[in-house]
Amino acid sequence: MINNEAWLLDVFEDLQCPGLVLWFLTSDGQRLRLTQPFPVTFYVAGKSAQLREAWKFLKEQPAQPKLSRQSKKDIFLTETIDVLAVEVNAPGLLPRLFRSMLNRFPNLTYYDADIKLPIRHAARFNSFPACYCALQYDESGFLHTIEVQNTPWDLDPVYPTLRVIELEPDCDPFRAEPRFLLVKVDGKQYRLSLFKKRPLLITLQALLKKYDPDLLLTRWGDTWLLPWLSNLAEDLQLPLWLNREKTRHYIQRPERSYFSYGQIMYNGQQIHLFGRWHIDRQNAMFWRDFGLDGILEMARVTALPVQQAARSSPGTGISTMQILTALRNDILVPWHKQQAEQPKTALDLIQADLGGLVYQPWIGLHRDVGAIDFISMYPAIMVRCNISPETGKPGLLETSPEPQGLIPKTLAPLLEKRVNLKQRLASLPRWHPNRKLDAARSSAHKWLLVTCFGYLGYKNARFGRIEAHEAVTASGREALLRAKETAEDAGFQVLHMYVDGLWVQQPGKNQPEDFTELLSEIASRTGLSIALDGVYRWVAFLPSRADERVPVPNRYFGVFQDRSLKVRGLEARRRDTSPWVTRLQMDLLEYLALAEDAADLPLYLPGAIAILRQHLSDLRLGRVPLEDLLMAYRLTRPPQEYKVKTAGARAASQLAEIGKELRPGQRVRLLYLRGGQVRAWDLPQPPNPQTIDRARYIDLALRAAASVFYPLGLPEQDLRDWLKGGIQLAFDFALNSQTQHILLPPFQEEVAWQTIPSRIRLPQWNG
Amino acid sequence: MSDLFPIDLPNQILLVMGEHAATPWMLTLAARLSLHHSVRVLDAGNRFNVYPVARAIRLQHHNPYAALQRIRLSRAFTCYQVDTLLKEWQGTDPILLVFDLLATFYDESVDLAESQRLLLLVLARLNRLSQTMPVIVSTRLPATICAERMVLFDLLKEHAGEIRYELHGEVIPSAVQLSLLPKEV
Amino acid sequence: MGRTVPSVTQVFYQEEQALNRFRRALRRSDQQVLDELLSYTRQHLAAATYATHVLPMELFFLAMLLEEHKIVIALRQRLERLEHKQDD
Repeated sequence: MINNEAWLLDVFEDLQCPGLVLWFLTSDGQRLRLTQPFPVTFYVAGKSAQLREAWKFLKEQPAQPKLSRQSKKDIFLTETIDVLAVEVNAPGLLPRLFRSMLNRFPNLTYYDADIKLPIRHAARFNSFPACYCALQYDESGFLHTIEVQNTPWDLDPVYPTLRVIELEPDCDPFRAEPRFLLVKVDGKQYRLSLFKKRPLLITLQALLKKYDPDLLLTRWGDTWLLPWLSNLAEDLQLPLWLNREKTRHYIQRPERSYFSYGQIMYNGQQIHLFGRWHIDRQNAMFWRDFGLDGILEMARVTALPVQQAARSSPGTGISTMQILTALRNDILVPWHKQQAEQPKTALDLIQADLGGLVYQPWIGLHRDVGAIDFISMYPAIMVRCNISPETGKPGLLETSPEPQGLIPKTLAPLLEKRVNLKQRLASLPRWHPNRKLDAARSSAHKWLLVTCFGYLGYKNARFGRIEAHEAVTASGREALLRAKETAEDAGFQVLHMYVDGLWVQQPGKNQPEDFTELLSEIASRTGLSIALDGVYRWVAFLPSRADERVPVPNRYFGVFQDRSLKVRGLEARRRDTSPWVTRLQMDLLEYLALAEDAADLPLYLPGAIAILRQHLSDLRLGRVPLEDLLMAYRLTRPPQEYKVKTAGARAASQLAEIGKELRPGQRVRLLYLRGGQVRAWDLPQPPNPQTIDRARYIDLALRAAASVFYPLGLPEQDLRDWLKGGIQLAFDFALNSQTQHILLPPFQEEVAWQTIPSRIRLPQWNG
Repeated sequence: MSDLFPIDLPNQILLVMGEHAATPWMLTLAARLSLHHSVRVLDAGNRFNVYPVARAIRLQHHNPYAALQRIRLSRAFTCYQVDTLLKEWQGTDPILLVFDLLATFYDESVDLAESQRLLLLVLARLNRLSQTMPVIVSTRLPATICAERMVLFDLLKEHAGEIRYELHGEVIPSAVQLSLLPKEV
Repeated sequence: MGRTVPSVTQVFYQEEQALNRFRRALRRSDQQVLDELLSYTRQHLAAATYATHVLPMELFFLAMLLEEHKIVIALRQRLERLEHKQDD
């Protein structure tokens, strides 16, 4: 018998004999393959006559399930129920057996029937991806005991050192034909020709054998590279060990479009490997938000296998966590939810069916504003008020005497970990190397927590319940109003409120400690944690673009005491805005952020206008690369189904003509050309830069600039006239109801230009 | 509308079909009925917008609150929930209104055979209920992209005691051609 | 699960739509005043949401009055200040 310690990399079904294959990375750096017996069970409930029939049917099945009668807990019922337990030795046989049962007995109720093996393993052994385990196994690789030594909730998990091979083609294969494969491994880089196919495969296979990576990190590996390489290896009859488990072929999951929060999303085809992880950076949902650290954290806390965690929505993550809690607490996991809404009166419906409170801010510029937010408000309410499908309706923000329900049980450790990480993050100095890691992990938690509330009301959520969903929003509204009342009692003006956050102001209060008392009073009146997001030196709330009189809740920018900027809902934050316009707007904001006091802002106006002129002249002189002018519109339907042919639809049609079909949820990148034309960027030939519709881009730039200048009192039309060659710029600057008339003679711009920091001032400026 | 007061309604399934599953008409009906009776509603298509109901009641009575409290409803968001709600039904109300019955059955995330199986169960339950009270069911045609789900609509029609069509707020006897009705996406 | 009852904001837009014919028949100058009144309502939609009134239009009128009265108060104060100055 061998004793060893190791990190768990992968768990999947053993095709040779009944049970599981587990891949480990041992503490001394070996890659270890073990097998483990793993019988799995599903449960069936229904009328006893039908259950007897089912028993007979199962007895005759080739899978030879072990049958027994058990008493179990269905979360939606108060009493335990009698169920038929169906246990199979070979986990791979369960799905087929379940399907044949379903065909034969569709009216029976099924539980635990479609739970993935790694989740079952996690439930039984407390395992999770990259958990650290003490192992006992024999010479033949048969695992006798596994004891997990750590938990997903450690603040500083010790990860193994992974061996990584990075693979990527030299260009986007959906845009042009790649010519080389770039390989990065062990600090070395290789550039392999894709046209010399035999040497390519031989080299790649040699690298895979030599380095035996734990992670293949690719770009377009899901959608192009790995299938392409694998087909090539098959054609040339050369070995290519993409999987560590050599007897397995990879799993290919098809592309799909789906709805999430009313927005259509797109996921490309996926390639999952056995015994090693494949992550395609182009197809990993949150790569941009939190990278590999966040993905590993997502896998850790949800127990979803790493390859799935990289590609799944947070909804899948939350659902998996709930299933895991159920399994560990001996609660049945329904195959699909049957539970429906308890009757309510029409009057109740009006009072219950509403969301968070969204106020309209006071438009304009405000100085010394504290922004305070409840920390993960909805999850915190679920935990505090014990809101779960099986618990009673709570009083507003009140605790409950009942035992902790399934949802709070699932969320509590995650919430606690997030709060701890956030507190630690706040105390780490800016240069600290752990900041990035903690921020990535905290961001993964945030996504899961944000999602868990919506998931409670999702129609297919197995542990969802509409009444629970409504109870959460009701307490949320109560918390926001209590916070408002607390702030007003303490003499603050409330400038804006948004679901779980408030912007408050009181003359003379502009340091974090000026808000401490308010925060603790709100915390004591609501029972929820609330934190200071920051104190703004100044913040500007903008009106809607369509109507100047109408404020919109989430369009603002501001500068915190530490000079950092916060920008929401502006052009620069939209993913369809071209990088050039984004840069321009951010340059303006960063420059204005230099103002010590909001009252000084008019002094910065000449410089800001000089920056704007600079960008516009770059465009006119053709200095802006075409890539920086790309707009990226999300398709909401197939291009032919658009009634009004939007720019995005027209560009997608161009691509469809050359056989590049885009699916709803995908973004199409395009350029505006003269004469109202558009051109899809992913067409083979780049367009002639002379054909670019500069007027259109200048218009977009001015709109973005006008959003920045608006709260200073400078209207968009005045700005446009001034740039066209106005003689004197005059406008009213309003701050805290004091209005100041500003006159700007033109020479001030050039004077101001000299003082602009070089990171904003571009070298090619020539006046 | 006046011919549809409960005293006039026989104990049977009355199927009303129209654009948006005849929702505005059904809502007005619910309002009228609630002035004097308790009303049970099963909303199977996320249709029960209370505000027009309140406005309609307000036209007849100064205090809409009491009438709104006489309407009790449950919403179903999956076809399994439609089945469960009817299964657990305590049939003590004088009348049952089912809004947009087929909406969840048209949902393509459940395969057609399973939808059909469940719909048969649901129709049997509605049939049983209609022995003791009027059951008014509203529906619409499936969207063109899932035309194969027309069989579900046909199934429902077979089980209805009477069919009426709703056009611009008016209920028309069944003699009018079906093809007059706009299809809904 | 999608919401069944429309949000108060949606109800507001429906009510605004319902005023279209009335608005069209008004003189241009009166249209602008009407639009301003409606924009007052928009500033209090969150409060109207929380109120869960069965006939939200009643609250919409109240919101208009509220903003109207704020202006009256501001004007009254300004007038008092001016009168005060004159007295000095």
